[in-house]
Amino acid sequence: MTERIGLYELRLMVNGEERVLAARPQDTLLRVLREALGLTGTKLGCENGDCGVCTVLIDGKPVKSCMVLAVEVEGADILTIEGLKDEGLREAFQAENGYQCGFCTPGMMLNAHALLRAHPSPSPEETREWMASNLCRCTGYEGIARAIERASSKRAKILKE
Amino acid sequence: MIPFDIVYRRPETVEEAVAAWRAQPGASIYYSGGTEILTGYRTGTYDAGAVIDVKRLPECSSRDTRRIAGHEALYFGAGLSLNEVVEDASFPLLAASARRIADHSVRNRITLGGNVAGRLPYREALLPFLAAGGTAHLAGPSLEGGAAGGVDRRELPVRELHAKRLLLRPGEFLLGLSVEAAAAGLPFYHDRATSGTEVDYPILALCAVARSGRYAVALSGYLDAPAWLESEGTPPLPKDFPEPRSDARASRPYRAELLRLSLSRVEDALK
Amino acid sequence: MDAAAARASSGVRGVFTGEDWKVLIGLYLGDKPPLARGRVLYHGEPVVAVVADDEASALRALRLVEVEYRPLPAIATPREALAPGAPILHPELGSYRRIPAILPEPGSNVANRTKIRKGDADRAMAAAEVRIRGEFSFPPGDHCAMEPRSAQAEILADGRVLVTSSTQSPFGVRNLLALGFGIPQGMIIVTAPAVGGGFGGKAGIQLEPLAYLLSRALGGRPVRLANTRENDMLGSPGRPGMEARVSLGAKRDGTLLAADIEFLFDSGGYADYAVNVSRAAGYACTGPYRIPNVKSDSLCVYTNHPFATAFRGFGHIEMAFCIERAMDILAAELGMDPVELRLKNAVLPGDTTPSGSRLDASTGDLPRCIRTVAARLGWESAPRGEARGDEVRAKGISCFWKAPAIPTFTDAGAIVSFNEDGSLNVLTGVVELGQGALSGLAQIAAGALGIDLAKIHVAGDVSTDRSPHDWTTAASRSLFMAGRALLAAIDDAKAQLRRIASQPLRCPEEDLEVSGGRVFVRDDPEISLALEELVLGYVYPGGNAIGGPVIGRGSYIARGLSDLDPETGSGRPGLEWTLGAEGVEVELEKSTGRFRVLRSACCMDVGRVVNPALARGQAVGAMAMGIGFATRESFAFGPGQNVVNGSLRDYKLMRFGEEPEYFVDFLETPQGDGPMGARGLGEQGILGMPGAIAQALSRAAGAPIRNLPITPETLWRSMRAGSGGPR
Repeated sequence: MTERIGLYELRLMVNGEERVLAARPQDTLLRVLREALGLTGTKLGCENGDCGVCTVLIDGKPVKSCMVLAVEVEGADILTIEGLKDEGLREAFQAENGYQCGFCTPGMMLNAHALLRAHPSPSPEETREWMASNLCRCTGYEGIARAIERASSKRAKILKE
Repeated sequence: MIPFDIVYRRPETVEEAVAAWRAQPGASIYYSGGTEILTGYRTGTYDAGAVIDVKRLPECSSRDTRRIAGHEALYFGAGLSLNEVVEDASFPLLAASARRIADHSVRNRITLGGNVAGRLPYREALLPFLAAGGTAHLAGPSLEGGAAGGVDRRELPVRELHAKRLLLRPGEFLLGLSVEAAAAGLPFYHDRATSGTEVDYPILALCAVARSGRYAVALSGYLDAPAWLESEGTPPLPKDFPEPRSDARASRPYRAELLRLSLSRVEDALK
Repeated sequence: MDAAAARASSGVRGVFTGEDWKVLIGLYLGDKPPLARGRVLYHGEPVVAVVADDEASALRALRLVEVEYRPLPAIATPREALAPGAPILHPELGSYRRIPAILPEPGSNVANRTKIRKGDADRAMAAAEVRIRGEFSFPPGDHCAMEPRSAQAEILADGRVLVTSSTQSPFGVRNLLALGFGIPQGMIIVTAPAVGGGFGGKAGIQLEPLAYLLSRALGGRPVRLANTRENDMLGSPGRPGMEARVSLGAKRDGTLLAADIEFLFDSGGYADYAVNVSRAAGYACTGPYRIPNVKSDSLCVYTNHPFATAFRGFGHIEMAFCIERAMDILAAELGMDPVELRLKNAVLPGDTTPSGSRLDASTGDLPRCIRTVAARLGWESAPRGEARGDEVRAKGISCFWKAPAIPTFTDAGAIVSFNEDGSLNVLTGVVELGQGALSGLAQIAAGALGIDLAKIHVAGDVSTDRSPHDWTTAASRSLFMAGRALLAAIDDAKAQLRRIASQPLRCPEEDLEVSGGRVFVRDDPEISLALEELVLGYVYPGGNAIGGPVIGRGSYIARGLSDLDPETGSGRPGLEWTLGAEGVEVELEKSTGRFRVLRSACCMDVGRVVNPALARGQAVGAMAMGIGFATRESFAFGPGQNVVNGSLRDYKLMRFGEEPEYFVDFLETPQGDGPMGARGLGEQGILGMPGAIAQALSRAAGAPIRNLPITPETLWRSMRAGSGGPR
C-alpha cells in the first residue's frame, strides 16, 4: 500500500523531465505545478473544475489539474503549456485570433492539441464536446473554433502530402 | 486550495483497502475520481482526515464479461473514468447517459463509482443500471468484526441497493456495476434537460428500456434522488411519479412538463 | 466575532476586521470600508482578513473565526429601497467624500441622481398622438473574467509603497491610496502586469487598499490577496441590476416627440463606481434617437445585493435594453416595422443628445448601420418569424450608442525612444487586458514613422513610476487617447530628428522628412541619414557628437468635455459617440422554451478600423457577453438576499459550441479628432444584444419580454400565459 502522510518526496514527470520535490498529500497538481515548480502557465480560475484554465495533459488526456492530487499522478506523463510543441496549433491560434487576454489560452490550446491528436479531423460535435470544457470570456469562441479548424486542415494537408 | 493535512492511502488489494478504513473508521473516505471530494475539501463540506484511493484496485479498474447468476454479464469497474465508459460500445445506454455528465475533460477524472456513490443527487451513471436492472458489487468490513476481521463481498440488485443514496454499510465501497449482456443490448431511450447550457446538472435526466412488453424508466434531477419505475405495456405515466422538486434551476410545473414530453417520446422511441 | 483561535493558529501574523480602520474608500463616492464595519450589507461582503506566512495557514485560521450575525431586513429591489420606511443602508451618506458630479440624497438610499430636463417633456407627451409605457427589470450579475482579482502590497523602509495588482487603473489606484492614506503620490508605485480580462471589473479601486492596510499593520511586509472565484464573484463587485420605466410619445407617423424615463440602478451594498454608471445612463438615456423633449431621472440605489462597479457598456447596455424594448412597444402600437421606426428616428449629425450636446460631423451613419444589419438578417427578404412545427425562428434588431463616460479631464500620455538599430520603444499607461490596445498602438506608431511593425516595441507592464500618466484603461478610449498622445510623441521625436539631421545634412529642418527609417530632404531624397545614425546622437567623422538621445513625448486630454447641469443635465460629457445596430436570429422550441441564437450581426461606425482582426475580436467577444447578459448571467437570490448561484458551477457562462454565427461590419465615418480617424469600439458590441434578443424571442414566443434573464423556463411560462402579440 502506498501511504503519504505529511511532507513527502514526490516524483513527477513534467514536460519530459523528472522533477523531484517535497509535497503534501492534499496538494493538487495545479498548486504543485505553479507553486513548487514555478510553471505558472497553468492558471488558477476557480479550483472547482468549472472553468478549465488549469487544464494540463496527463498521459495525453486533458485533465483539470485542480481536480487531481499530485500524488495520484506520480509516474504519469504530464504536459503543461510550457512543454507544448505544436507549431501548427500555435500558428493557427495566432493567425485566427484564437486569444485575447490569454488567460484561458494555455488550457484551451492543450485541450485542442489533445483533441487533434485523438481526432485529426474532428467533427463539429467532437470539437464541441471536447472544447466545451474550457471557458473563454473574451473571444466569443469564434477565433478558437477557426484556429482548431485551421490547424486540423493544415495537418490533413500535410498528411496527404 | 485544501488547507489542512490529509493522509493519502492507495491500497493494492480490497483487503488492504478495508483494513485501511478499519484502522480509523469514520475518519477515512473512499476516493475514486476525487472531483467531488476535492471541491468538498476546499469549500468545507468534506473533512475526512484520510482518503483511500481505490480506483486502481483490480476489481475497480476492470471492464470484462463474466457469468453472474447463470447469465452473461458486462462488468464495469467502479474506477473506470466516465470517458472510458463512454468509449465502451457494449452498453450504449450507459454511454449515452455518461457522456452528458459534467464536461469532457472532467469526465477523464469522474469515475463510475464516484458518480454513483457520491453525495450529489444526480447519479446519471446509475440510471442505466436502474433501468436495465443491474447488479452492484460491493466490498466492506466483514460483519463479524474483530480487530483482524475479514472482508465481506456481496452483490445485490442495484434497485434494492438504492434509496436516496446507495445503502452501503459502514466501510463498504463499490467495486463495480454489472448488467446482463442481454439487457445492455435492449432498445433504449435517453433524454436530458437542463435549465439552459448543456454543461450543467440536469433538471431531468431519463433512461428508459423496453423489455418484452415492460418499460423501465429511471430518472434523476427530477426528485431529490434518482428513482425508477416499471410498467406493463406503456411507459409509466407522469402521475405515477411523485411531484417534482422546485429549485433554482427549474420550477415544479416546468419539470413536470419536461417529464411529460420525455415520456411521450419514450413510447415513440421504443414501441 | 471571536477570532482568538484564529490568532493563535500556527503561522498567523494578524487577524483584522472592519473595526481596525476608520477609512472609507471610493473613486467617485467614498462609501466603502475595507472590511465590513458593524453591518454586512451584502452576501459575500468580507468581514475578516487573516494574514499568515502561507495560504494554507491563513485558510486554516480563517475557518476558526466564529462570527455571529443578527439578520436585518434585506432590501431586494431598488423600488423597495425607495419605498417609505425602507431601512437606510448608508445613514452617513451626507458625510461621504465625493466628486462634485455625484449628487447623493442623504436620508435615503439614493447614492446619485442624474436629471435630464430637455425641452418640455410633460407638455410634448400630453400632446403626442400616441403614447406607450413599459416597465423593465433585470438582476445584478458578474463580469466573470477568467482571471480572479489579486493585489500585493509592500511598504519599504523609506516609506515607498509598492503595489502590484490585476488592475485596469494603476494611476487611479495610486491616487486613491495617496488621498486615502495621506501618502505623496510619488512615494507609491503601482504596477499593472497584463491582466486576464477586465470588462470594467478591475477598474477603479479593488483589493489594493485592503492589501496596503494589511501590509501597513504588519510593518510593511509584503502581503498578497488573491480572490477565490467565489470571492471574486460575490465579495468583489459585479455589474448593477435595474428596474426601469420608459414612456414614449410620438406622432402617428412614428416621429418621436417625448421621453419620460426612470432608471433605478440596483447598485447593491455600495455604490462607488456605479454612481457614474447611472449618470452615464442618464445622459445617454434616449439611445441613439432624436427625441427633442426628454425628462429622465437616473438613480443609483443602494440595496442588499453584491455591489456593482463598471461593467462593459457602463449604463449604456442597461439603458439600451429598456429603450429598445420601449421602441418595440411603440412599433407594435403604431403597427410599424421596428426597423422603419428606428430609421425614422435615428440620430444624425446636427441632432443633440439628452444633454444638449450637438452631434458633429464625426457622428457615425446610424441609418446605414441599421440597413446593414437588416440586410445581414434578411429582414426584408425572409420572414422575421417563421414556424416549422415545434420550432419557431425569429429575428430582432436594436440600436445602440456609447461615448466614454469619463471625467472631463481624462488624459493619456506617451513617451517614445529609440534603440541603436533605429527601432522604437513606446511607453504608455495603457494596460493590456486582451483588447489588443498595445498592438493597436504599435500599428499607429509603425504607420506614423513609416517603418515595419517588427521595429516597434511597446512596453507591456505599466508602472506608475515610469509610465506616463493615463486615466484608466476603460471606457473604450485607450486607443483613442493614448493613440493621440502617441502620434504627438512621434511628431515630437520627428522634430528632434529633423533638428539633429539638419546639421550634418546642412539644410533647413523644414525641408526634411522622416519616414521609412530615414531622415531625408523632401525634394532630394538621396540626401539622407538612417535613423540608426541619429537616434542616439549624430557622430561626425573625427568624433564630435551632437543631439540625442531622441525622446518624444506626447499628451492628450479630453477636449471640450463639461460637467452636467444638476437640474437639466445639459453639458458635454461624451468625447465621441460610437453608434450602431445589432440583430439576431433565434430558434425557439415552443414546447420547452429552449432556444438558440443562430446568427448575431453587428454593424457599427468606428471612424477607422486600425486592426480589422482585433476590432472584429472585440465586437464578437462583446456580442457573446451580451448574449450571456440577456439569457443567463444573473445572480439569483434566496431568503435574506443570499446569492444562490455564486460560483461558476451555478452561474452559467456561454460555452464553446453555443455561440451563434457572427457577422461584423464596420463603417468608417472618420472621427475628426481620433488617431487615424478612429473611435473607441471595445464595448459597443454588447450594447444592443439584450434588446435584439428580447425582440426576437418576443416575436418567436408571441409574448412580450420585459425582464431578463430570458431563460427557457421564462419563455415557456410566457407562452403558456399567452398575451396576444410580440412586443
